[in-house]
Amino acid sequence: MEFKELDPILHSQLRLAVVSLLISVREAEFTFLKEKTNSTAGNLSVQINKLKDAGYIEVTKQFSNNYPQTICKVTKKGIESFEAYVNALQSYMNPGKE
Amino acid sequence: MENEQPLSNEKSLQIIQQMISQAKSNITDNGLGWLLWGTMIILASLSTWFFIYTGSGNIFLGWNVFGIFTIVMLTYDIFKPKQKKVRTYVDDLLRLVDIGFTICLFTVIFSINVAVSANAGFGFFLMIFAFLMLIKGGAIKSRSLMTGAAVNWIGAIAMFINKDFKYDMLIMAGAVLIGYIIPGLILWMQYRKLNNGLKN
Repeated sequence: MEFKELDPILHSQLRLAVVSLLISVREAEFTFLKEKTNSTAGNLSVQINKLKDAGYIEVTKQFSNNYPQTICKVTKKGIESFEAYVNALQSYMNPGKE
Repeated sequence: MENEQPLSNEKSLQIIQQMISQAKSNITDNGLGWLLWGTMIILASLSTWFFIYTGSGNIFLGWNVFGIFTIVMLTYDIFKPKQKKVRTYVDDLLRLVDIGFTICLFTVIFSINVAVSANAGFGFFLMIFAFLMLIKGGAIKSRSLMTGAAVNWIGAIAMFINKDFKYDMLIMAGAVLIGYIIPGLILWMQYRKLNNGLKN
């Protein structure tokens, strides 16, 4: 029985939470992610950058009503990695089904 | 939420489920649009009934005002700054439904002016209102909106059967009261309750 390796980028509480949220929506603002994950702005910002560097999410900075806005969106690579992560999790939890 | 705590498989699944459910629960409606739109339609319907009843001049005056108001509101909606923190796939779909509904609405207005009788045309109005309510009610899981859709379809059939335009306007006002105003009030109260709950 061989277990699939869990993606270290996703196997972290906050990064997994961010990608799980972004999987369900088309795009979301930084403040939405902060509110839903109940995280600090600094920590969230660091984890978003890690996801961005891995190519899992796209980050767009823009101005809306003179206020800066950071919009995050999951990429195709991010979706594929998330699916692989969930499959790997399932193989750990239901080893008999593999 | 901290980041570097050891993450068990169960905890990972819990986070995924929790976040997906958080994103889903973001689809809301404060009901004000239904209340505003419904009030305008009821006033326009009752004004037409009143003008026919009293034998006054322009029986469609209320609808002309309603038309201008609709154009102003649609223009404002298109150009107003968007303040949503999140854009879902359902938001995009509902936007297309709104565009389709608006095109149908103006097509029916056009048909009343050039092709069909006012009696049939206003029945078509109720038909497309019901269609919009069913889809939006389904999206936000509002049973009152979906019930309102059924009432509007029944109202449309009643208008097609009834041949006295004066009473068509009363049927329309009644259908919109049940279909728009009551669900609008329920949604508005739910929205206020939810927001008060979040503030406490």
